[in-house]
This record gives sequence, structure tokens and C-alpha cells, in this order.
Amino acid sequence: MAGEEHELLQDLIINILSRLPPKSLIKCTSVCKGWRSLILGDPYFAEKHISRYSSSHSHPMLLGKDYNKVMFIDIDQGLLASPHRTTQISMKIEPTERDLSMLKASYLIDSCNGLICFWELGTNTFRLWNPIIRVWAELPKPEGYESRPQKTYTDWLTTKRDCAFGFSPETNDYKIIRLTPRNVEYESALCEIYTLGTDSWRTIEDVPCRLYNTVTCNGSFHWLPSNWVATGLPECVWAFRIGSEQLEPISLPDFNVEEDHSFYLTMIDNCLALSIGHNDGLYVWMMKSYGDGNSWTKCWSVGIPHINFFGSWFLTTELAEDGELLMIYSTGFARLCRCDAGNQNVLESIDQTTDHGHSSQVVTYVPTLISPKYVMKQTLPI
Amino acid sequence: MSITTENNEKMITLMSSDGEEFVVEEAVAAQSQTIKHLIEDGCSTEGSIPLPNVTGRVLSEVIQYCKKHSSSDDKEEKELEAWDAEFVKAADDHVALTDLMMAANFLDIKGLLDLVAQTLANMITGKSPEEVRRMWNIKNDFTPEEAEKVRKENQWAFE
Repeated sequence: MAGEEHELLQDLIINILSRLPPKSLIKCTSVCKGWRSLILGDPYFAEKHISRYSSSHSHPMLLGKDYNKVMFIDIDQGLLASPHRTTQISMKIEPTERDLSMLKASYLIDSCNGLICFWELGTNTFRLWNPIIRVWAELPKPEGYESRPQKTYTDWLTTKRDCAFGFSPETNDYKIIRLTPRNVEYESALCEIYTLGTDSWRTIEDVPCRLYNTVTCNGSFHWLPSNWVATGLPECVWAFRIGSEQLEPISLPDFNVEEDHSFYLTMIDNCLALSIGHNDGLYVWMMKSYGDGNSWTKCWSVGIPHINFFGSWFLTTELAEDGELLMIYSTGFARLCRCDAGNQNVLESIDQTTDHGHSSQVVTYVPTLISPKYVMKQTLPI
Repeated sequence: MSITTENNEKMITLMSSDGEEFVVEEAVAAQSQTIKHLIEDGCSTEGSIPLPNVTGRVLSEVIQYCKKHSSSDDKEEKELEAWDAEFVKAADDHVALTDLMMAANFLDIKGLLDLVAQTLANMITGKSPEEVRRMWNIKNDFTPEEAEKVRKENQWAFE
């Protein structure tokens, strides 16, 4: 060896490149043909990159979508690092004509392992996008969508909450579910499930309806049953195991709340969390040990007096090192703010993630090289 | 040939590709999975262990790393990290680091391999494709048309 030519073995190239941030890697696709097909078309390399690079960057990015624009905001470097910084748009990916046409009529459902899932309402089409390697894939269409009960305008606006997208480490499958209420009373829902790489959707009848969003963690989709609006309190959190497709309740503590509280399921530092909105702000509870109903702990009490909790939603929240809470909330638009738990104050409202007057969609995102075509088990283009 | 020191540490001799001999404690040499297996297979009982893929210059650096890492325990993690940072800094350029990485790969020393790979990855970050090619004498096998197309596709990474 002695490196006379400084030639690198393939193993060593993989070892070095799998540690690079996405932007540097994409630049490296111009080095030579071998590197290009390794970076863009090798599923083994993509997995290595997740285990070496992506998992060592613990804070995910925020991904915002607003009409046909997407924004990537790095919480790790841009927001948590310095106390007086402005929102840093950490990746600017100029969408192509094709990207724009795919994005404009689509709802952002969620992202998982760098794959972003969209649903185009008008054509009832689900698509996956990896913006880093610029690959789109279209999923087979579910059937019978047109026969579902007529929705109101408000329902239509919140339609993206019908769907969830996630990954099961147990079965190594990516799945999409869609819950459609059977009737306007929201008594039960039809659950449609699609496993990526298969040809068709399967359905489960009579699943508990949900309100608002679905939170994906620990290999399960989670939602609150919709009937808490009538009873004042949700009786449990439903956990739908992505691998086994089994539904199980997770118990909730006695929150001891008065009337007119709203409940919103979210995630903080990889724990399932519940924000309880009231007239002057919100309480945040965390389930410290997953699946253990006794481990719910009240962690924050945040005063945001100007917020109207009904009709607003709370999304991805992260912990800064000093225990401050970073959260996104929306009262018409998405807003990112940092909260100091002890003093119950909002320290600062960092930025609006949108410049539109209507609700933008925000999810967490980790950049990867996983190809949608690979997880769809389609032939790779390279 | 195996020698025993005063503290009863078993010593073994390693021989580099250019004939240089290094006498080290067995525990130090066994940081390398490759050498460990050779010892287990009885290859060290007679004479020295030849390492035809590693020059004396590189081997002495590898031994430095192994000595440090076999004598430190877990609670010195912070100090060890600082030592590692100085160690790769001393290796200086990508040529020396590449040699070191190839040796770590051949000798199967995971900690050293990870350390050097991360250092080289940090070096590449932000470099242009031309600069990366120059580092390892990689041939640009794109036609000008292909190169233009690839670059256009990934314009965002160059801004």
C-alpha cells in the first residue's frame, strides 16, 4: 500500500463520505462517476450515511411548506446555538419546474428518514420526495376516496391531519395510514394502510376517530380520540403499531383541568408530550418513559396570553440545553418561539416560518440519501 | 520471539514493510484485531510479526495511538479526546492521514479508523470537486457535457 498513488479503497471512500453533511456530499457527486453512483444510487451507502452522519446530528431540521415553497430550518445550528440569532434557513434548494408543480397542490403529511410524504388532494395522489437527491415517486392510489362523507370547508382545510407517514424498525417497512371518519359525528373511522413497495392499500374498519394530528414515534402512530371535545378529557392516547398494525391505548393521568381546555399531542426530545391549552397559555406534560402511563410529568407552564388555543396548533417542540422549550405554534401562521419554563414567559418569538397569510405546514426533517424509488422497490434510474 | 518485561508484560515484535522492528507490549499490539488474531493463532511465538502493508513511519504512529488507548480508562475520556485531536493534527496533511487510515483499516483498529475518517471528512467538507480530486488523484471521467448536467442538477449545493 504505502499510499504511493493515494488511491482509496472503496471501503475507505464509503467510510469517509458517509460522514459528510448533505450539501458537501451532493457537491462530491461531481468528482467522478463512481462517487456519483455511490452517493445517489447505493442503498447500502444511504444506510451508512444515516448511521454515521444523520444519527450524530441529534436535532432534526424543521421543514416548512407554504404553497409551492419549502424551507429547511436548522434548529441545531441556527436556533439553539446562540440566544440572539435569527432564523437560519440552512438549506436552500431551488425547486425545479417539476418540483413546483408537484408541491403547489399538495399537503405535507410528514417526513421520515429524509423522505417527505405529500398528498395531492385534487387527484388523490400520494407522493414521496427526497429533495437532497431530487427524486420523486408516486404511490398507488387508494380506492373509494370519493365515496367518503362530504366534508365541510374547515374539514377540508385540515385534511392533511387525516394521514400519517412513518417507519417501523421492527419490520423495516414504511407505511402511510389515512383515517376517514365514517360519519359527521366522528364515531369511528375507516383506516386505510399502505405499505411502501406493495401494490395495494388494505383497510381496517371501525378505528377510533381522532382530532388534530398524528404523532409518530417509537414505531407507532399516536393520536387523541376525537370524543374529548364532548367529554372534556381524552380517555387515552391511541397507539397504532406500524409494524404489527395493532391498536393499543396508552393511559393518561388525571390532568385536573377545568373546562375549556384543549389538548394537542406532540413530541419533545423523542418523548410523547401533550400540550394543554387554556385561556392564558398552556401546560406541557411529557411521558418520560414510553408506554408507561405513570410516567407522565408536568414539565412546563407557559404563558402566551394572546394565543387563541382553539383553532391553533402546536407542533414540533425541542429542548434547548438549558431546559428552555422551543416550539412552533400557529394562530393562522406558523411561529417559532422559545419559552422559559420557570418564569412562564415567552422569551422571544423567533420568526414566522411563512410569509403567507394562511397556515403553513411544518414537520421535523433529517436529510438523508434514501431514494423513494428504492423504498418503493422500483428500479433505480442510475 | 516473545520476551517478558519486569512487570510480567508479554512483549511482541512487529516488523514493518521496510524492515523496521518495533517491540511492544502484547496488550498494546492487541488493540489491532488483525494482530490479536495473529497472536491467538500462534504467529507471534517465533520471531516477529511481519506487517507487509505498513511502513515503519506509519507503524510508529499507529503504535503511539495504541499505547495511549491501551493505558487510558473510560474516565479519562475528555483527556483522550483532546489527545486524539492533537494526534491527527500532528499527522498534518491528507496524504499522511490517508496512509494512516489504510493502516488502521488493514490492522483493524476501529477507534483509529473512525478518528482518521472523520478528520478526512472534515477536510473535504466545503471543498470543491476539483480540490477533492486533487487530494486523491481521482480522474474526472465526466465528459464536459455530463459535468455540466450533473452540476446543473445539483446547483443548490454549490451556492
